[in-house]
Amino acid sequence: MVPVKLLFNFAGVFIGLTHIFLPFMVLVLIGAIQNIPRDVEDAARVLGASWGSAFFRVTLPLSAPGILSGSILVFVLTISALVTPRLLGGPTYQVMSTLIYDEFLQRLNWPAGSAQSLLLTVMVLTLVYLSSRLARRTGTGA
Amino acid sequence: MAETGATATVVTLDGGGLSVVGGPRSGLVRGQPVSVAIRQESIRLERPGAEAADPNHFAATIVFHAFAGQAHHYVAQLADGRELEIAAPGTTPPLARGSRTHLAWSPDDVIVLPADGCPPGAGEDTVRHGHGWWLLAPALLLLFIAFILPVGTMVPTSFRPYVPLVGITGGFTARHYIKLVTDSYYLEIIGRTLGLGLIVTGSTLVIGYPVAFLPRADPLTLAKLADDPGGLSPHAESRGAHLRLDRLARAERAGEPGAAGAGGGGWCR
Repeated sequence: MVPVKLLFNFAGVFIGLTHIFLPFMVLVLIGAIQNIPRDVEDAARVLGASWGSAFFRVTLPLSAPGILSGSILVFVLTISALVTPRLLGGPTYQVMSTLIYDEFLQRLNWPAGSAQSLLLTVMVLTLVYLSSRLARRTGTGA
Repeated sequence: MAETGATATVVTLDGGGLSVVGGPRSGLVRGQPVSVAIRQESIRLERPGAEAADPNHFAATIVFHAFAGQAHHYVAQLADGRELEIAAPGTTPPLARGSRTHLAWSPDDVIVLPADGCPPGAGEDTVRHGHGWWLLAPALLLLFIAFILPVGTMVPTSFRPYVPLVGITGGFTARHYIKLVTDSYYLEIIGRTLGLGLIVTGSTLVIGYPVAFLPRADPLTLAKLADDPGGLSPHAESRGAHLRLDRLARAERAGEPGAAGAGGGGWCR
């Protein structure tokens, strides 16, 4: 039997990050889903929608603000996570945060590290800006 | 424009064609610009040709009518094109759209306000505008010290050349950025980071949504899903309604009114 490789590769980092950031997503989603009045679901059922269609056409769209803000939170946390990719990805499976760490503290190449940090910052800020515009466009106000 | 006397206030509407008579009103001077309001319930619809007992008596055409049980909602157009909304009692015979009628109202129902919208003597605007920014100052200060300052310090550093075994030297170079977007080593890491972000976001969403939804899905729905995924028999439906009422009643008794309607949160949008 071949042992499953879970260290220093994608699988390990993926499982670790999902495990760590799942609560963030769940907490944001619980808030969003509990704020949807149960009455709208009942209304959909009364008007003849099946359970699945009431969910996909009423509940899921109404929880879109929560999905959006939870996704932004988890995405930003993931691409800036340092410790988990460092421990589970090791020196071979590098991501941007570990690369920046190495650049600053091991290669002492501060200019390159600064450039990488700024690129990461710009990417995150762009994403947050675009998503807030998306939220405003759809009138959900995440 | 107001002209006020001991017994009445006469307001000439913009355009000069019509004037409205209101009750006596102190605190106004002749020629002062004012606004005039009449509650829509106070306007009476009279038959064409009926003799006017009131000084406020205008010919009008109905341009909109909707019956709403306790009231008829009308929009009537005056001779000068002005439109008025009217709520007539629902017991009165309806007037069709396009029919000509007369509007009348008592001078006592005319509300006259100075044109700036404030009742006389209300004083100056007590709300101060444009000072809310100071409430943001602590947060902005923290943002500045903890984020903008350190990130800003990296901007000049990122354009300095780096010589191995020597260190950061003077001068200007965009080499680091160019390397970042052309070198396949860096591109792979950037792509990997973004991909990892997307995949982790997707997996937390897929795993997290059912978890977050679980407190909401009532046991009844789950049981129905398990029993009959295709649909519900009428019997099960009525039984479901019964159980739900029972659940609501229990929640009410337990003293959580929010559980009755707004999904436990007690907060309706």
